[in-house]
Amino acid sequence: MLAKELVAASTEPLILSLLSQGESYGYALIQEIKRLSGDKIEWTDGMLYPVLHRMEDNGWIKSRWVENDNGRKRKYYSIKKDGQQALKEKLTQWGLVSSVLSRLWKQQYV
Amino acid sequence: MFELEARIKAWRSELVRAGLNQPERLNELESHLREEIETLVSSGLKEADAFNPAVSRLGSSAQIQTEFQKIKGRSWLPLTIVLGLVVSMLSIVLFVALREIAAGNLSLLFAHVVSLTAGCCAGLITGVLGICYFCWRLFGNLTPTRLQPTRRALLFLNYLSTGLIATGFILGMLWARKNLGRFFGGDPREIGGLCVTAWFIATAIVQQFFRISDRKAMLMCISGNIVIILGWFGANMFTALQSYGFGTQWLFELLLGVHLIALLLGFIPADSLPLRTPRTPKTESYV
Repeated sequence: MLAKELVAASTEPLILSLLSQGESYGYALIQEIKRLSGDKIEWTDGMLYPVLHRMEDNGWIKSRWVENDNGRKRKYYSIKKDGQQALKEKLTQWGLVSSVLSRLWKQQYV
Repeated sequence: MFELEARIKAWRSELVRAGLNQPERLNELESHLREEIETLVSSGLKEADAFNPAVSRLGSSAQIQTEFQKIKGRSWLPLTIVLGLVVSMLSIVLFVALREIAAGNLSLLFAHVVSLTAGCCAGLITGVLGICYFCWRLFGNLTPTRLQPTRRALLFLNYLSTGLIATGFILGMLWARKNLGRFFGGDPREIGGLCVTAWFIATAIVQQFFRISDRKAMLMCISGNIVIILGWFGANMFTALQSYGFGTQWLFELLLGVHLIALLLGFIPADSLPLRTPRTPKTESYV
């Protein structure tokens, strides 16, 4: 399992990355992260929504209610221009951390 | 016997007791819960056995509410200013009315003028909120948490304006009946007053009974200002009855021009202008 702190720090880039691939809703986002991480990243489901709402409040994502064929309503989120910009910045930051760690480990084990 | 709907209802009530009382948030969480129950049922569990694990995966109501509280209560400067202006205006109106009552001067005409003026001013101030909304929408960052109190304030201000304007109009009719021998004489000011009253009553009905978007509600507010400008200031230029000022042509044209531009801004899609700067979040939270 991933450490709590790392899960917290990676939530926004993960959500932004998923939404940059297309519109989605809370439940599907959680399932997708579980699948992609092989169940190693586990979010407390109800805690995702405050994060989504805060990201919406930041102007990164927007939402709309959609009624599906069986009459159930889901709130779909999609990324906005500001969100794409934020994602770009987060990718740069995570890329930097990743490259520094890679160099350090290379020096250590080579 | 296990009843899913009753259990979901009880779970929602628990969230409300924890302080999570916004229907949209509750609906979203309920939609998630139902989805989780369906997944568990499709994997072989009975509804009764799926409910508790699904609830526990969502987290406790207190935990969820604590996280939501972190994004609560962001104020929007134009709304604060507008509400401040309305409170100041109502205080002045109350002070003037009480002074006149104390002096024994309260007449039908005075009550009509004060009520109509206060109603139109409240309406104009609401319209200014509409102008700010479209400017912020295009050039700033207007977010759902800021819009929630704005929606409530807009509804309140529209009811206030409608009530004052309608009262003022009726008092005017009573005064006209008493002093001029008829309720309605077709004078430009009276026609203007009738149009303003009709528009605000229509706005209040639409806001109460139809679920309209924030953009449409704000467009209606700005249109309300245009109706006031034409019906009040515009009619002053052609009036045969007493005029309370604002008969200056350039001021009339300026106000009309500004509101027409604001109305046009409302038809420009949000996000279409590259003038907005992305905001950086202040907090991280755990999921």
